Amino acid sequence: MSETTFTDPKVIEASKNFVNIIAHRETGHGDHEVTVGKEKIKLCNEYYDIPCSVHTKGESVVGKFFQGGLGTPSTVFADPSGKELFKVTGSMSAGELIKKMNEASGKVSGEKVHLTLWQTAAKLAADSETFLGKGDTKKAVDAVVKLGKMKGAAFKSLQEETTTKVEDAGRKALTEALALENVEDKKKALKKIVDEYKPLAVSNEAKKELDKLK
Amino acid sequence: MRHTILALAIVCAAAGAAHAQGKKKEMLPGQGIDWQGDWDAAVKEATARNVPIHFAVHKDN
Repeated sequence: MSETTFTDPKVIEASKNFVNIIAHRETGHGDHEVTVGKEKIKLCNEYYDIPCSVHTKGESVVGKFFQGGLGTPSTVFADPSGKELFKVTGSMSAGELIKKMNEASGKVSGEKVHLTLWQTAAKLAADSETFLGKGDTKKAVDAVVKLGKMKGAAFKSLQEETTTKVEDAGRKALTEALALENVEDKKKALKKIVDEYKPLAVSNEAKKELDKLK
Repeated sequence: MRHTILALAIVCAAAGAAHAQGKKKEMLPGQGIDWQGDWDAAVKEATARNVPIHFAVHKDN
């Protein structure tokens, strides 16, 4: 299945509406080295785009669905909470796997978030944190704003978490600015917060403080 | 004659192996199925995205 079914473009696309876990205890199939950007990484010869450590780690999941022996290959479909929907024993062609994927997907109601969209949101959250760490506030705020524009309940907690981190950094800067004794220095620091953190709430707070000094 | 046949067999076997190796698909991270190995992380993501979980169990042939 790993040679054909899992590399079928239609299966790869269908898998993006799932969270996919692989369990494969052995590593005898070996790995190979590839260069990604400037980095050399080792990828599995069986599953191609992951290191073997991913599928060996997945082995710990087997006990959640199988007690005693099991036939391999086996496939389990579970709902988003991890509760089993159904199992399939034996190899499946790409068409058969897609059919089963559709069956599992049909058992989960409500709005689903495609992997690409999810990864975009996760990247924006990560970028925001990276830029904040580098002191590039404007870019961190831009990432938060872009993330905030993504529609869907699924992004709410990620949006809140990321916004809070940037707002907290802004409030820290605001506290430091307000502690400055020299009025001109204080105005300059507050203006910087107003500009860099726009349109976040902390920008408005800094604006109010700045207005008090005028 | 026997040596020639043996040498030919070795060359053919090596060529076959090289061909099989050449047929192996090459994919970079992100080009195939986004496999994970951590159950807790998988459930957290599946819950957030409201998508089902596809769990495959395999072993070496």
